[in-house]
Amino acid sequence: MTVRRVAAIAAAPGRAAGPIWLHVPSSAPAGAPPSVLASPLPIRDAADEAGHALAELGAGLRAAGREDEAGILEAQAVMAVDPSFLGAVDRRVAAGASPAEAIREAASGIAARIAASANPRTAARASDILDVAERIVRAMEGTVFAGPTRPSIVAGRDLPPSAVVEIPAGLLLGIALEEGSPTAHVAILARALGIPAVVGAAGLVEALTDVGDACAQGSDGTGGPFAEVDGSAGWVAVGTMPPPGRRPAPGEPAGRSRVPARAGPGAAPGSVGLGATADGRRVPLLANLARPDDVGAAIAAGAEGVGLFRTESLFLGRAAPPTEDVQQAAYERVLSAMGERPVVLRIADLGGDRLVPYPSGAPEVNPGLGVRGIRLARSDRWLHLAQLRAIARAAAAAGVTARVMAPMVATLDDADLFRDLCEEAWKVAAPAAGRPLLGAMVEVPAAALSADALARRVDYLSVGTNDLTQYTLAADRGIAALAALQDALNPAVLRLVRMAVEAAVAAGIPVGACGVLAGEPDGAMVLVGLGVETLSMEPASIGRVRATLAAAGADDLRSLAEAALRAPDAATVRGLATELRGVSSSRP
Amino acid sequence: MTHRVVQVRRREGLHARPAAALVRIAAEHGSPVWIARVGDPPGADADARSITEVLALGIRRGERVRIWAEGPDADGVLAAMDALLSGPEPGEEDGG
Repeated sequence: MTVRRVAAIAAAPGRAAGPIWLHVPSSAPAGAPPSVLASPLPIRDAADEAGHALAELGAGLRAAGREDEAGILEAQAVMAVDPSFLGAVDRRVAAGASPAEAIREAASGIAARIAASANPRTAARASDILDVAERIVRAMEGTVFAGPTRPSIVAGRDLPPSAVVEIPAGLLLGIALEEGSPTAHVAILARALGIPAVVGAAGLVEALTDVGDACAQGSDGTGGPFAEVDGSAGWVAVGTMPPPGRRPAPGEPAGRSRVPARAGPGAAPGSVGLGATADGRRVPLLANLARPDDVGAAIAAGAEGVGLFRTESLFLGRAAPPTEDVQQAAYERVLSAMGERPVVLRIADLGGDRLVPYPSGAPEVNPGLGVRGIRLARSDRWLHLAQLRAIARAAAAAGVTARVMAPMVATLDDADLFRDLCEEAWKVAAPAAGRPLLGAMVEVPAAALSADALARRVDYLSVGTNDLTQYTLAADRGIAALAALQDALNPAVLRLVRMAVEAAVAAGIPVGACGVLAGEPDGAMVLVGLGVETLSMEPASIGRVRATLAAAGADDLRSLAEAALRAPDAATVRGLATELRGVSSSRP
Repeated sequence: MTHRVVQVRRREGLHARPAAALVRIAAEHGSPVWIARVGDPPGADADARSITEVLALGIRRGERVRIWAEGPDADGVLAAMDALLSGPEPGEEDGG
């Protein structure tokens, strides 16, 4: 018999052992079909039904003196009949979704918004609405929550909080979850009911699958999948059901383990979830888009937004710039596809190595230091004004707040020019819409060095590590012989990043990073350690960075960043980051 | 329409349980009630009768919110919401 021990976060104290009952979200059914309880209900009736059931569960807990836990279920009862939620469901049904799809999609959209909210206590509540949605779907389909039929350790990726109260006492011996945090409602309820529980057990579902494949289960459970949970020390051991009298060896001390991102119902592992460190510091993972068509890949990778839409792709390879209508359609497509997730549109960064025939000007010997980015607007206001008008109309049509960003900001004057352009464009194109949120790229060293003043003029900063490196080290990105000077982990570059972060924090505005560094595991770790709040990268990098951050503690990353700032060179920084990753991944 | 600005003093801001209580107060009022964080851009306001919108605001302790309401009892509903937002958690000593 092999026993695999998975490190986890202690969520509710105590130890328990028993056969495994695997919880799978009902949108991805496996095992026995749910039993049919009653005839299907219309959506509103199902929502009322779910609301009543949750209120009753809450009232039961309140009568037992558990007011805090009752409050959780009572809040869910309010969510079930929430007018905004049900309105979103109706709109999706009207657009052709099935009722169950509509309920789940509307809940996922709301969960993403709640997860992104500024209050961490609130953000931890995002899964509650998903739980409510599954309950409404069950009420609608006339099925009941499929729980264990004998005393079991309930294991899985995640577990709806209400399931903890719904599974009859005595059948729920312990809980082991791959996701979640100790502040999640499922953990709070487990503590209240005295059920040992662990969360954040990275690799648990895979271990369960291996065990499940390996064993032929006897009718008494012997030989079937078995688990032991230590909710005090923080581990879970899975194996096959031992003969009576034998138990898996006790686990080792927990150490810091991982809090993987939360997955939506039925999602493929790695394809969804929110970026966070092992100890739960949220780091939204955003996508860089080169073309509007990339938005599909961004969504598939589970991007929590678009941190950098490089709009110059619309302009390249043409004899004349695209019309405002063509631009508006392209922007609207991306904004609509991302829905409630934020999208930052960077105005076209033309010039430099992105040559287009129409910005007129003398040929430059050194275009990287020439008229590019926001500098173009000094001579050719019309190009960026037309683009900003198209963005204003697209955002108004999509019903979202526009987020626009200026490339190549070097001076405070550049930021003021950008604001003037935006004001002019919005006045013409979308006077009734809310003002856009303005961002400045920090990619010219001068911007980093004057970030304190810059941060008071814009709504967010985004560090562009590619250009910041080439300008800081005076090393053209295109010259292979200078490769050693083009590593963005150079401590001199990192010191500039730190200045931008400190300025943003002092001004109370968000700061993100885009560029190749944000999509590299080493780079992502150092950037987060420096205090960068969001990372934007190629969609293909998101899964890897998500996994890297989920295995690292925020304190470890801060220490890494401190050491990186003092390191002699980029190679030393990479060594430190790789070493920390090795330590994290070799933890049990 | 009447409005007031309130500083949120509940220890952990406007999380699920106080949000549910707030929504209950707003829903009992027959006319629209809104809430927004002071300083947020226009359009970032929430229907106070919707718990999901209120939660998505992510209001933290110490932040100031603007609440406004329509209808004959607008003052009454705002007073009740003010008391909820500016009071400490039940059983909690407010440390300032």
